Amino acid sequence: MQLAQDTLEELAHRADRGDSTALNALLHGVAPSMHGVIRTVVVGTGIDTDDLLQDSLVELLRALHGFRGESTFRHYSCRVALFVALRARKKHARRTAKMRWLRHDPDGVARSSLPQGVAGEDAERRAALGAVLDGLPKDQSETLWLKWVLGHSVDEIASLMEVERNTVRSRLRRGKDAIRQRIESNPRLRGLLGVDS
Amino acid sequence: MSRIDLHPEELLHRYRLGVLNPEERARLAAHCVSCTVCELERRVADGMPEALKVTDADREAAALAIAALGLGSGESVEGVEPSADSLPKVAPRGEMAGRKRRMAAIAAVATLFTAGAAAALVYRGGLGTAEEAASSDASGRAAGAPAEAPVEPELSVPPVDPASLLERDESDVGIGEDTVSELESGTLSRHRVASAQVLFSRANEARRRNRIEASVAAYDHLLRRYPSSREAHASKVLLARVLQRDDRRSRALALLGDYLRETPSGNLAPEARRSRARILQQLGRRGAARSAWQEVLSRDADSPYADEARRALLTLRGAE
Repeated sequence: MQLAQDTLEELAHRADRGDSTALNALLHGVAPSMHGVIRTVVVGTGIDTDDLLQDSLVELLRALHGFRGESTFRHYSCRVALFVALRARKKHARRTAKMRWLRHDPDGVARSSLPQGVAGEDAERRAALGAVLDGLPKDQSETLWLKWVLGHSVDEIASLMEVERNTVRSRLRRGKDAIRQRIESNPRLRGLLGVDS
Repeated sequence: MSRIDLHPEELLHRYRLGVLNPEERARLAAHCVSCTVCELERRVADGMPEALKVTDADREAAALAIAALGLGSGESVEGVEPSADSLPKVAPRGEMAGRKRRMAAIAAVATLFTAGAAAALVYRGGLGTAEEAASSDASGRAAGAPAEAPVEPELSVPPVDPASLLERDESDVGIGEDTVSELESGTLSRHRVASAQVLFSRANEARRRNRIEASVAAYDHLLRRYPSSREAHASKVLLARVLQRDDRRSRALALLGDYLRETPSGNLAPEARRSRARILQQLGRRGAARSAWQEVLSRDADSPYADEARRALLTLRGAE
């Protein structure tokens, strides 16, 4: 069958032209990776990842026509998932009074945001990191998530966010400075993040 | 060095990609000794490939999300292609918010796939190959997802006008109405889609948390309340999985039989066939188990269950 040999990029173009078979294959091809990104981003928040995946798939359908092949379709879809997950994180933080209070206590945020059942040093670190990034301005936080989670380069982020390369570097620097201040003023947070030594 | 270059971002990126040479590695290590945040980035990078590795839970969530969006597959109708007009048409970004947008888009996608047999999908079993082809060109970030993801059955609700959903409050979601009268009046639409979805989501959540009774109760409620919904149909396989774990195998078999009778080519059919074969084998019904495993081999030869079927058949032969 032709479909089985198609790349995701070819499937995306066919889906955009109205081919429902390609659309179905495309979504099945990228949705597991998108879910992986979502659970990585919202780890420790208790946000329902199934809901977010549905939101992300809907956003991906909307964005299908805008795919110009400048990256692989998998990266394109993972970015959609990342932004949907970040939006949910922001919303979650806004809605939770407890979080507002805890924002003044990064260690508390990190600890309290760990739900029961989150196991493993890496998961704990990501949960703590997420709580710290939530406290940053949106542009800095998004830039850091793109680099740290999706592994994008400075140039890729500049292209994605349609800003100058130096703007990206500046956001990274300011974001990192803010994180460092929080880490250095809080030994327990340092321990949670695994940079105690 | 200017202040803006304080953090070696390029080196960190290359570290993430695993392409640093020894000299670069030494430079980065030296920087990280005095920079807590870059050290943190490096540690996060170390854990990210494992964190982003696609798991069975990701595949399951993906299959369910796609099913919930109405992108199901029924029986194959080869040579029939829907027109471009049938692709989802959703309101521009910004006109709706949050769940309303999602519900409208879900409804639009549902419309596409309830357009009749034209929307029935031919695709089954080739997803893994598509995935492999796609992942081969990826750089490895957030990649690696085999996609033998199951396909879901046809949506059984009438097409929904997305515009009608814009007037809904979020509080509508999850509220069950009189489904029968809605069906009769052709206004089934939103309440039913949302309610079945919510029940389905609750049942799945309970199942993942291993709360067996809660998940069985939620699936049963869904099956009773929305028996013809897509969610109820998929629930048969998922509930069977829970019951199988809880040694309630007879009912699990009955549910799997129902599912396979209704949609032998449904997206969860490979899993249903595998589960049925396993249960029969556990029950010691060797003849039936052998037939069931052979059916897995013949119908789902490209699925990840084929190897298990071969092993099981060898075991069964050895026991004779």
